[in-house]
Amino acid sequence: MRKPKTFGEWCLLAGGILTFIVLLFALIGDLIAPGNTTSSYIMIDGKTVEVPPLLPPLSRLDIYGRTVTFYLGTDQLGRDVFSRLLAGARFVLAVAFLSTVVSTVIGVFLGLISGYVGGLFDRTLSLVMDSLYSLPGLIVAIALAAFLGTGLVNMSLAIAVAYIPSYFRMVRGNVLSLKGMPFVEASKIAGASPLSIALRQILPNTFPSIASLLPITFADAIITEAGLSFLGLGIEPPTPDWGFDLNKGRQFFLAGYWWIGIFPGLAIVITVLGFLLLGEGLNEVLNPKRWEA
Amino acid sequence: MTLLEIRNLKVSYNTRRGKVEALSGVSLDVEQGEVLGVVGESGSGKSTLGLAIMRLLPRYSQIEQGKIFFDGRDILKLDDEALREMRGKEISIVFQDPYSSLNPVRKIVDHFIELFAEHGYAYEKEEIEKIASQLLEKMGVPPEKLHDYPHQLSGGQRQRVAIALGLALNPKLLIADEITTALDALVEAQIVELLKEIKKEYMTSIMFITHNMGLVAQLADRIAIMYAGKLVEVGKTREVIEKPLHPYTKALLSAVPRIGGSKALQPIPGEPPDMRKPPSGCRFHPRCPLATDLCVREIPVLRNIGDRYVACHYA
Amino acid sequence: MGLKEYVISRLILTPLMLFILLTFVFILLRVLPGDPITMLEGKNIPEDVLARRRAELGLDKPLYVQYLNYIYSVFVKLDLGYTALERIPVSYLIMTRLPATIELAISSTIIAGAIGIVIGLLSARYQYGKVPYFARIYSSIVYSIPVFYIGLMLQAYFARPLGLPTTGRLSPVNMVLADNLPVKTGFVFIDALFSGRPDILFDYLLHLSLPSLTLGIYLSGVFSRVTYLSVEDAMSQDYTQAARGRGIREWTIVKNYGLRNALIPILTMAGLQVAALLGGAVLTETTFNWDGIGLLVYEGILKRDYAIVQGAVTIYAVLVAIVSLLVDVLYAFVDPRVRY
Repeated sequence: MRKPKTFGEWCLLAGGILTFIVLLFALIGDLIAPGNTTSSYIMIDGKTVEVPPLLPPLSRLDIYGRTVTFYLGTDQLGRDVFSRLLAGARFVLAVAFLSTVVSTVIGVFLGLISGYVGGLFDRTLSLVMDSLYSLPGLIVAIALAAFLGTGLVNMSLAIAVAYIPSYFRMVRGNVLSLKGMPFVEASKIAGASPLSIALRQILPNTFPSIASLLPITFADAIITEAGLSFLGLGIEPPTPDWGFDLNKGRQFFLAGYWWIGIFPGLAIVITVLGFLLLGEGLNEVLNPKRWEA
Repeated sequence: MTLLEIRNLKVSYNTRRGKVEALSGVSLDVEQGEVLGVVGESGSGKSTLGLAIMRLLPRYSQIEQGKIFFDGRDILKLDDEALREMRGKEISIVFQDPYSSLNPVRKIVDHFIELFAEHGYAYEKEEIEKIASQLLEKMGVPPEKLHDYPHQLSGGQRQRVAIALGLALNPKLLIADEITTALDALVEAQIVELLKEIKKEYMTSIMFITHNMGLVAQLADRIAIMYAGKLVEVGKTREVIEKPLHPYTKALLSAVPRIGGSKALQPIPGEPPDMRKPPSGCRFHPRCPLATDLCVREIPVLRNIGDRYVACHYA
Repeated sequence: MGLKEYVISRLILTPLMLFILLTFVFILLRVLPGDPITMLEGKNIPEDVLARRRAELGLDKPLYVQYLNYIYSVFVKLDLGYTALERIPVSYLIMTRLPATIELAISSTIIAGAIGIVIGLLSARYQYGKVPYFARIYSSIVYSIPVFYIGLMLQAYFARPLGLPTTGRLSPVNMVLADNLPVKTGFVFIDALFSGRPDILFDYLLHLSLPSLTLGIYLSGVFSRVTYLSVEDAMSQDYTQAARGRGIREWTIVKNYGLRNALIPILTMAGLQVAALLGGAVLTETTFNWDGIGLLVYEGILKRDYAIVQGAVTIYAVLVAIVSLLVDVLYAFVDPRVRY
């Protein structure tokens, strides 16, 4: 692999590395973590050991001849911050993934139909989507989450609705400009059905723009999820979650127990930054603008 | 007096896929008060020539070697501020796309006001308006348009405005880079007539860059024909058209449609070369009916034959 | 078309848009799976209490009736219902809390705008140097930091050394005083200023500093990105090259061609900025205990008070519609192609 030349390629590299690290930790981090995400006990050789609360980072517990390291300290209930971070990663990534998938599928589907069919249907749907788009994403998610309830699926759905308009608009815009292109005309003359044209000719040409929007939506979803759980919507304690832990950590900050709140926040920043850079890099590579050296 | 002297100009671009030499040693003169037509296909380097003179080449390019003297001054040695003063006032350039040379959020008159202000003229707004108004009229644009926005004018009108802006400060040289390519034939003809008038009235030298042989025939005093970054033939318009010496020139002339012409149009076989790796020897040899081994081996030099300059082994 | 006709057409379109938004709010809040009452009240309340609550809120009537009721009460009666516990009109709550949010919004927009414009200008002038890279890195990093994390950091590391307060709009003493000022608009800034109480004003500005810095930095992430992209796009247009050909100075080009043309897409984004602002306000106000509408939403969620949340979301929809109208009108001044 050669050294990145353009800014876009650097972004891609940096983003790729960050997301890779995050995913790595999320998947196999448990191997090195104590593992008591929701309880204040850990098992050593079959024996239950209570973990002291509010231990600072890099604290070690020497029990029964074993050493357990709490890399990032423990929180007010004796739960290991690092383990909670890892479990939180899995939760947050799952929510982001699910909401991205849902909003992409629905948004692209609607955008494709609306753009291709046109007419009153298109105008109405566009108006509706524009209105939804103008509402703050967090507010939409709050409204939905407040009434859908808690849980991974509900949260994902609440967040997904906020991003449907983005995909809708983008795909619809693409479809509108592609509709008039010669190769579409050619297919029509050749007798292809509208469905086939839409699916086989137009849809693939929207893939580059969809692809560049995906990481950004993913990153956005993580931020929205953090906001929702910060406000206390969508998850039930003791489910580990970054936004929720950050909120809880606030209270202990001034008392000097900074690690409870800081690390979840850092986790959010690193993950979101990773996906964002990935998206920026992807965008440059897929849609090159400047003809540079 | 020779207004513009270009000697051995080499310009290259850095692209993602390698260095491209757009101009490979071009030497050319423009006399005061004459119209020089620069003709060539896309990729021949003709636009690069215009940009190089104005020192408006893009960032990813460089002038490798050569000299450009304007009015006795070495353009390549001028600093940024001197260049800026020169542009618009002594040499002007008008570009191809009429839809993107004016500021969409400013009225036409504002363009003139800005032009005068940036060049240090302390005229009152009303004076500038009067000057602009007269200019527009000369260009064939109704003076009321002065208070309109660019999108309210047609393409042809916008191009005339661009020309008016180019002439407002009475430059010695006007570079017209394919200014009619984006316009329809009728408007094209009008602009050509306009340029003839300008030449007569203002005595401005004009470098008319185009790919259209038919246009230069009407307008230019001398023609310079370019191919793949090099000059292949230069001479007085009449003479070149009646008796072309270079095979490329001949081919270009027979590709021009003529009303009432009985001969079929002869397109030139092949395509313009990939400028990342131009053909060896004479760059035209892959498409030339007279090509021989010599042409593949040796680069022909621009030779002097009477009033003409030709770069061909067999001219 | 002319300026007048354009503005009038926009004025007519706004209620329509508001109507659609309210319909949306209604759909979001009612037509989805999940019983709002149990969600909010919890699962341990006896059924008859729940039934009574439902009846109170009109949730037992058919959906279209609820919808019509909702539209009617908002549009005509301007009534947003009552809070569950204290039976205070929600509209009253909102009106009293709105000024705080507006103050926060204005001050943070100023901060975000300043940062964004500086970045945009510098990126345009030095478009071939390193500046655009820093602009993009800055906006990416800031965008990745949740606004409440920024708030937390500021509270933790800036408040103490600089002696800045970290919660509330005013110190408790001044809060009582502010309630009894001769000028009472609800906007502490105006009240204190025109009542001749510079001490209250100063205290207020101290309290305002951290929240608006937080929200301002957060917004500047989005804003600087939009500014930089729009200016970059404008500067890459052919008309800048044509201007250079006429001997126009580089800074003049940045001003007259770059920024001026970038205003159009920036304005388009302004509507989205407001959306980000409103969303961010909820989180910022929660972090700093700033009693505006954002904090009201949080309280409503905590207390499981349906009416408050619905009322707040409705107000957001109204604010969005108003801002859209303003943006559209501003368009007419910024983009001549719209008018003629």
